[in-house]
Amino acid sequence: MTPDGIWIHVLPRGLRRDALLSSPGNHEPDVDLYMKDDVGGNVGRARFQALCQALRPDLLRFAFWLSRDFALAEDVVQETMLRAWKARDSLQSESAAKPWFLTIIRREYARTFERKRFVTVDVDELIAREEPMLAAAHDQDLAELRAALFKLPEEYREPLVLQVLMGYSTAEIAAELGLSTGAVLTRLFRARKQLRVLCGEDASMDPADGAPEDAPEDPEP
Amino acid sequence: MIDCTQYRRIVLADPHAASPELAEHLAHCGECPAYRERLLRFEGRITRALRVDADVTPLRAQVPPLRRRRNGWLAMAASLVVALLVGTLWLGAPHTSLAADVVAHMAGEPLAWARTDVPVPAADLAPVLAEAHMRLRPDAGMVSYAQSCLFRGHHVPHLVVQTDMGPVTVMVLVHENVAAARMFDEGGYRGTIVPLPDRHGSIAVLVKGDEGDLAQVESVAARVKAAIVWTG
Repeated sequence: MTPDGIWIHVLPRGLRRDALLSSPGNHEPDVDLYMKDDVGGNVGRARFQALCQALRPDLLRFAFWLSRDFALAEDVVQETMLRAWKARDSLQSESAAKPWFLTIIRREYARTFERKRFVTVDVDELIAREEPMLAAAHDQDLAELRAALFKLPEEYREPLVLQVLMGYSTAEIAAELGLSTGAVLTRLFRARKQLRVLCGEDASMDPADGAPEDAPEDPEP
Repeated sequence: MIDCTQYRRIVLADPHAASPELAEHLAHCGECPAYRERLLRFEGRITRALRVDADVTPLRAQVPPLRRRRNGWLAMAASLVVALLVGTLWLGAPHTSLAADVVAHMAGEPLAWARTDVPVPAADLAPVLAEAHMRLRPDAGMVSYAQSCLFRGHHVPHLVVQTDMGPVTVMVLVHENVAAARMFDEGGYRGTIVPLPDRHGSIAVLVKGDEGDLAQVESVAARVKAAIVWTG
């Protein structure tokens, strides 16, 4: 039990999927990650669960593109929700929830990375392993683009995901990643340029590699 | 004025970038408008590619070795419980793809989000609603936008209700029955999908992420739901 009277029964990592996905009434004690306060449930908990449920698809997508591993992404999101629950007092408002969760995901992923001491992985191997996910849309064009996204260096992929998927502005990406806005623009420029080449787009009219206007040069990762 | 190289560097970093300099270049350049159009098409593909189906669980069948080594009967029992739980949730909740489809539809009608105090004339609103065999009582709120939109193979009313906090979009999904209300926060939009009584489908109610909160969405959803009158 946590100091503030919340019971948290935790099953092993692999069994915790969708722990916070269900509506409060669907939980069974000791079956899943189950949170119960001393007065038998309250609005705050239900609200938090609903928030997690609403955000989960985008959080999972973000974690997936960060890790390129759906199983790992699920684990990272679950750990994130657990940490978020414990730190929920620091969440000022629901509208700030998504960036708050994304920051926790990035930290949690970094921790996982440190713990597991990943060796260098072959991108083609990764693509083959995640093939069911990448080809889920049964759309060859989409699968190829996803494979190309897998091949982007993390330094380019992450700001692209934050911009395109999460709707972050350049300044918000810079704040999240601890970079200058110029460096972010450079990475986004290179990300799209590489993607276009990887996807066989006509890149003959693309400008030579270099920073966008007013952006200080960001060295190649 | 910026040149083509400068323009393309900027839009490659952010295809939706907008500034007077960019607009001026675009207006006077013979090649960059077509370049931008191709770039935006590619951007659409990137967006679709990044939006992997977060409900797809293909890897459940490929449990990593670490998990497979767990004690047999315990793992099997736990898997059964989890499967039942997930199955219950799957049946009990609308699929995320419905929310994703609603969000995807929003991208096609950006003008609908204008703040305005001009209501849609009743004569224009009525036929949009009539296609779904319904009408709305006035207490639904001021409807500033009404279109009959093709959504998942059916024409459905796409409405915008103006509130003190800004426009709220309502789609009446008469062909999409859901078991329970579910909130979503995807692709820059936040909202809820609420079942309508007597299996009349559901309504999706949403706001742009930075223009409202879920409490406001829930309030509009309840108001519109109560204001629907079925005519057939």
